[in-house]
Amino acid sequence: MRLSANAVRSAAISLGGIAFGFVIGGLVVAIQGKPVGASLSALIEGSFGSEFAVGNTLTKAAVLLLVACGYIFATKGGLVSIGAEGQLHVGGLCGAAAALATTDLPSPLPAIIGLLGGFVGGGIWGAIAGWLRAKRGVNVVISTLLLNYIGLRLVEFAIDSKSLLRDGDAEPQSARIAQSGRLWRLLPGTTSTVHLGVILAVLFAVAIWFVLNRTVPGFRVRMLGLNPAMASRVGVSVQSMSVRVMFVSGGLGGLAGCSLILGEQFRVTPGYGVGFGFAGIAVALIARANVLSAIPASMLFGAILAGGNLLEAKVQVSNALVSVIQGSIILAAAGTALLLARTTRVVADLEEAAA
Amino acid sequence: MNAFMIHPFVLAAFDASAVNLSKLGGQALRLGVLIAFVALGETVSQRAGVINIGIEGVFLSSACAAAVAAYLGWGVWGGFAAAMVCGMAVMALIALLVLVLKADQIVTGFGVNLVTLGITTIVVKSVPELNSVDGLTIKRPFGRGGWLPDLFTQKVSVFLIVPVAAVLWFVLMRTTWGLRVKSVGEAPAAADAAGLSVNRVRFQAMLLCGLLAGMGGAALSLGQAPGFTENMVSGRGFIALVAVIFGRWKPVQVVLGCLFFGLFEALSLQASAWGVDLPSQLVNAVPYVACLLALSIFLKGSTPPAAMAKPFERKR
Amino acid sequence: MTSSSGVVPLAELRNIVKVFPGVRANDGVSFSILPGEVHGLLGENGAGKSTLMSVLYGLYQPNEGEILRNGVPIVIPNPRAALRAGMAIVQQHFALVPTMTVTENVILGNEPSRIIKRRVLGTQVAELSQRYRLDLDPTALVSTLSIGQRQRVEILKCLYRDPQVVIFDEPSTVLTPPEIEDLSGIIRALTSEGRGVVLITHKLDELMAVTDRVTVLRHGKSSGTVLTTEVDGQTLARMMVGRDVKLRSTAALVGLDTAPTLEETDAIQRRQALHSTGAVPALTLYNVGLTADGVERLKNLNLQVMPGEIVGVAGVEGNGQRELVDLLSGTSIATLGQVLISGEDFTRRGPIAFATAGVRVVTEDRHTTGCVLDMTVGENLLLDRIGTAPYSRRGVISQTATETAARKLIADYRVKTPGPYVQIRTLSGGNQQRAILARELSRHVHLLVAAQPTRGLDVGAIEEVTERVLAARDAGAAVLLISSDLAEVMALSDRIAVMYRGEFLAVLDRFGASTERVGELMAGLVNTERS
Repeated sequence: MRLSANAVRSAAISLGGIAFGFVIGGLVVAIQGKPVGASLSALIEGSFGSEFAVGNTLTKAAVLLLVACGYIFATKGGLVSIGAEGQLHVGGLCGAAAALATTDLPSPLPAIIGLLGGFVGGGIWGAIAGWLRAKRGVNVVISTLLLNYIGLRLVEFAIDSKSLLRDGDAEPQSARIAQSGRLWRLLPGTTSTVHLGVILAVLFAVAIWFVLNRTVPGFRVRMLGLNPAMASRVGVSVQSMSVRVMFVSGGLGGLAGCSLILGEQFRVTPGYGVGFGFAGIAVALIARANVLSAIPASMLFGAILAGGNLLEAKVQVSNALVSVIQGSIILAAAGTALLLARTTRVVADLEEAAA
Repeated sequence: MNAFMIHPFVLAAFDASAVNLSKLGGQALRLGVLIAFVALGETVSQRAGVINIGIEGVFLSSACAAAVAAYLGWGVWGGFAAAMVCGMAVMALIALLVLVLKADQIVTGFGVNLVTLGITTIVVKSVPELNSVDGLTIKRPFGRGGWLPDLFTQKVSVFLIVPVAAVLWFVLMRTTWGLRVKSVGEAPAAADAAGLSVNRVRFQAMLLCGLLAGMGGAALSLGQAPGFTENMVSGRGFIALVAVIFGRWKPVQVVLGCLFFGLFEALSLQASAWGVDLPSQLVNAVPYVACLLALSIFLKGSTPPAAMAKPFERKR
Repeated sequence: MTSSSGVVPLAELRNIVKVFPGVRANDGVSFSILPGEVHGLLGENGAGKSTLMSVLYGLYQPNEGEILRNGVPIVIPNPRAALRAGMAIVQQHFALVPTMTVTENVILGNEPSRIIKRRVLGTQVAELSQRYRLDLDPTALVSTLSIGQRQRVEILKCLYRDPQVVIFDEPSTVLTPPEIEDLSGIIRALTSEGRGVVLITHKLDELMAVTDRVTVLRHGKSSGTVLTTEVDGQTLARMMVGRDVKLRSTAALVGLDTAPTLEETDAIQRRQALHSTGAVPALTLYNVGLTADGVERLKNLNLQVMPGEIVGVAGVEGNGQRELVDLLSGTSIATLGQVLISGEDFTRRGPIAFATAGVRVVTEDRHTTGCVLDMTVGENLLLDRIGTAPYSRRGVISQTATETAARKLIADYRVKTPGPYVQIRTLSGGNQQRAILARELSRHVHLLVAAQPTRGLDVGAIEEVTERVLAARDAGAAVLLISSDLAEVMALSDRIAVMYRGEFLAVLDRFGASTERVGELMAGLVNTERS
């Protein structure tokens, strides 16, 4: 009972934060002299107003959720990785390359190989930061930040170079991924673009939760994050574990890239997923590093992203409003963390007093 | 002239005669100094124990504020003032969150970056004239292409870094306030027991950070570029963050770190003019790779302020 | 509650109540400090001594009661206000900035000018240091100083503000016996100038030596204020604990003088004879040395510990104890010499090998190397065995097996907790230590390495922990007891090694070791010709 009261209270605080984000967004709209109500309904129409809109929300949410899972996994291991942007792009690139290279194999194989390639590609991009941390003591925040820029340039290079992925002379872009390499549409014959990536993302979220909370490797990861000295005392190698954690974290970012490329866009273009990495981290932040809470949080941010497209068309409000709303929600989440902690701490104190 | 910096076999078509070291240096200086103001601000903040990921947003919003002020006819220095005020205002907001509400510093920084990106984009879209407030931008003190080599024909804002860095060095290393800033970053409990208000000192440091980042913002939109464009900072604030670590939290070294990055950025910009036949995307990645390598080679053994990113709370 | 002499106290606390969630840390306590006196504040850990002084120093606000300064009621909202009111504290956990110099630390918060005049200030600080014979170099970085020197920096920092009331919070815990004598000298110098000194301690012998009056706290309440000349140690101990202390070792810990009984002497001799039986020592250190970051942390360590005996390692904190514990946990590797467990070379083995061989380690810092504060009690109890059956199978943790095991350990070791699913952070220090012991002692113990196992605990917990350690010995485990508390080492050990600057200065027979001799060795005085 006490637990549920606590849960209700944290849910209320989270919802309050979301409301705060929309209020700020509304203010920004109002200051511009644009209609607030119409903007909100455009936002809702763009995210839930049609089969297509819902599909759009879900596919965007899937990408964000995978990124969020990667961020949370690294955080649990004590590593603050803000390298999702780079891992996503490199992962998507590798996924496309793998799927294209095996395009002639029977049907689901190229897609599976593509996903694997994406995981490994993103994983390696993440593991570089883990390795630099383990061997050279480079702060992960900083190295992942730099690797974001390098990763984006790498993608641009690969699709501009004929010996690599470039297709044709017109635009720098890769070849189109054939049907065999694509993630299945879940609702074929409709306007909805929702694809297998959505299911994969949820499965991965649940799997990451299970690994972290119910398995020995997950236990070790959490121990590493909470107290590396104690972890090494019971035989966890801090260095190699950091590299492995970053590999998995980056791999999830890479899968997010694959979800974009193999599920929606079907070819690699310059900066094809810019913004998804940071937005996915934002999802993880408002989910307060809980993978299961990241599922609804990614839906929310996916909906805001999807709805943002209609803002400009319908009410001439720049879709930059999307970042204002997202940012305000994050600030509200950050600002109320203390409130939440106080709630739980008081409960713990009472428990001890009662014991 | 000489190609000693780059391995020769990469450069099939390298045209040594196109290399103009003065021009390269001039560009390196311009690009490096731009980041240096911001990095100095971040240095003060981190010395006080606050890692400010939101520096990118502070940089961006103050660049925008400078352009707006110039557009409103406040003149160049009015623009500078507006940028500094804007920088301090955003930092005050961050301070409210991280000092009073004990919000996570990284989460807060993220939120601030998103909000400022959104708002400045909306502003520049509603007032497209901000793209070019030319004629209101900062002048070069020594004329255009006069008798001085390129290296020194810089705008005032570039030269400004010298007194700013010198003053900041003095403040941090030789004054009582600097001592207090360092103490709240290293051992807040000790500072508290010595009768200092940890949060007040941190707040002051964060305001100074905003002021310096504001100067950087104005130098960007009124000095470097003729006006403000969407997301014109594009990661330079983060590079400033890297420079602080690279410069080991020491003002002069931090400025040198920025110049190091500026040099590589200038190299990558001029490479094609020199006939370097490398894919442009890889050349563009050079400054970031250089940063990463430099960090992993030189970083070992340097320690950040001990209380970094930890909110201060007395034990109960 | 003022003293009968009619002198106005420098500072006075009246009927202070301070409540934390679930605890009344101070419950109507009154306390006064007269000019020129040393007023001792005695009580076990958790009795409310530090809370009371934190109220006086503005770190906490009392829920009830008032504070008077020279007879005038005042409010002290923060340490700054306390300093302005002429009160300063020398804290137990030093409040120093390690990356700054002595001078910078001394002036911090009380700087005379906006710009730092290094030379002028250096001279001032040097003069002050000389006046009280503190012997400090004003330009030295605090991080390079020994613990004793750091405490003197704290004292200097206090004196620089010229306070009327100086509070010493458990000052002797980090000092060698000769340093403790020096400290008494400094305290006397302070009172001779008319200042009032508060000495917080849980050691009776020190209290008897320097104080004029003593106030005893127990469970947050005052059990009385007495003149030091009118009481004896036994009485004070009873006032402090509320009963007679059970074990000889705990009596020694609170500073009561005790000598081993005849039976105990016999037992010790029997255990010492283990060495001549030709049995294999559980632990052998052979010329062990450790150099890290270019600094020689351990050198030339030679020691054998037999199954069934306790070898005490006496020494002031920071003389290599931590490094020795790391070596014996397998988390660091000796750069010289050999570490043998039961005759087998373990020098280059990792933590898992040590654990498998039955080496159990209770580290000195339970928060950083003893447990994971943000994990649950249950998780902490099973940290070391979670990867094995029945706790997990094929990498998946069994919820039922772990819960059953955790509940059993909680019951067996009397860990007071609402259950296995609360964070260990929320438990008291004593219960955290019980949980750690439960984890370390519930598997086969061949060698127990216990570093400062009773630090910060109350007498009840100390007795329990001590009994566990003795039980492990009686069950045939070899015990290496590392402690900076001379009394604890003297009371429990069969043999005593004295550690100083990474070396064993001597390994003494329990009967060949007098408290004075060990104390001198702890201070690095090998030759006894000390005035």
